[in-house]
Amino acid sequence: MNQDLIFYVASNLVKIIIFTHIALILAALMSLAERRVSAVMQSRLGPNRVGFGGILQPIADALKFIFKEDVVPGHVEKVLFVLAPAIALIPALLTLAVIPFGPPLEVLGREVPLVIADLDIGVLFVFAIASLGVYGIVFAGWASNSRYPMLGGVRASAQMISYELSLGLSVVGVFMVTGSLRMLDVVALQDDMWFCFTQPVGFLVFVICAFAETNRLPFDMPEAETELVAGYHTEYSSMKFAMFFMGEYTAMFVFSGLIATLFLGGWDIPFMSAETFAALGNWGALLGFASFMAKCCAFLFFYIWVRWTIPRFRFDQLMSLGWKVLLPLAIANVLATGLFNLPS
Amino acid sequence: MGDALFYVFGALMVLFTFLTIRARNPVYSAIFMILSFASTAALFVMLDAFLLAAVEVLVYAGAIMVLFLFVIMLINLRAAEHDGLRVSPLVVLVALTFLLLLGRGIADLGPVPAGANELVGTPQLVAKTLFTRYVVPFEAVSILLLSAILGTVVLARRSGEA
Repeated sequence: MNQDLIFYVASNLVKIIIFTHIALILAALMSLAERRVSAVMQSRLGPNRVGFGGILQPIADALKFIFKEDVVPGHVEKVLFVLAPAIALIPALLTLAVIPFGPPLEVLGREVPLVIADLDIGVLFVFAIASLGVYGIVFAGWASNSRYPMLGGVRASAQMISYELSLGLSVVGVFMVTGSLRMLDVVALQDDMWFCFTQPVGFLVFVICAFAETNRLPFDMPEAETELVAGYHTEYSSMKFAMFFMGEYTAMFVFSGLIATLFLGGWDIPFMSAETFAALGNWGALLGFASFMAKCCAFLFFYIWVRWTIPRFRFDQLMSLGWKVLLPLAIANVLATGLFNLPS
Repeated sequence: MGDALFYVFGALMVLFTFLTIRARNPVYSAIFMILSFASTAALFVMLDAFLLAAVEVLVYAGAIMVLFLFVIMLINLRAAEHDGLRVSPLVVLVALTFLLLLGRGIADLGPVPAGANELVGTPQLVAKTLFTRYVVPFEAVSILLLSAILGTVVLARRSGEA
């Protein structure tokens, strides 16, 4: 074993551990932020007892989840019922692999890119793996073997197909400009101008589809507690229930990271060029990382903000929005990008 | 290492495909089919064809199988569990003929040309091949698919009105 290989394996292991922990800790904090922000918006206090201002509430929740009885009803399909929460969580964690968290860090004289796997196909990998996440919900709905979860599962599959198409097409414009699917290339090309300004339609469609893909209000049809009790996770309890939530919040973080990378310049800070980052060395890398995380957190806040502001769609409205508005918009955006960027 | 992985994923693919037709519950059939697609994607990854692997997972395992499951769940096929695999001599004959033709076709291809592995898989290369050399067949296929979609919509609407 030579040193390069050892360093490569070790640095990647460290990155995997750190990035997944960032995602999971953020997921825990999001469960608190969700309740605190909604409380503020409704002139309530929200959970503020555990720790300073309620900051330890997620730990209390986790303990409670662990000690609750794990009920597996007698009428379920056992294997799928147990597997479904894991199927919901794992794709969300896998997609973290291609999100670039910041400029390359220099460790022991070697350059370490702050991305676990810098794939040629970048965002396609995210879409491919994220499209598997819906199986967690579909299987949960089917395996529960009762009415409401079943409806939730059927809705999830229909919704996922309708919005994944627009999601994929909305970023085609970005890749027509960059000419590459690699995340690092996309970030590098946004040094001067973020794509949310040059691709406003793509940005809008992507953001709306991101809400639908993560099953967040106003698109939380699979859950829809006012009509489906709790939708796909009606029969779930204890840690299995918690895993669905971890999956949902992790997916939200991944999509926030995607939006930051594809449309908000990644780790770029306005009026700061890539050279400035490079000149600052490791401090530049940390600054870039902070900038990226700030963008993610801002978008996570936006998720919560929208959830507690806009009521849920009806299912037919959701379908006609997806197929009759977002899809044509995304296709028109591809066409317009092509016309504006004709090779001269 | 690479050879061993090829046999592992190849065997998994065959196993999951067999389980797909063997499973008595349509939902489990769909699940095994997803796993079979995943094994195929793994084989593409081993050929460095990352684009094909991603598309395999995105389109087949991700989108098409979700549609399958949607239909299975919507018409609630649970009641219609069939009694397992029935093998009729005709099926065996068709399968053997197909295997024979496939084997003959592969044999006719001859040995793999050197350096073929570097030529697959990058998005740029796939795009260039599709939109220059094969642009006419590519567009013809897309028109064919479009007409199929239109035909389905027309048929569905007609039966809905009747």
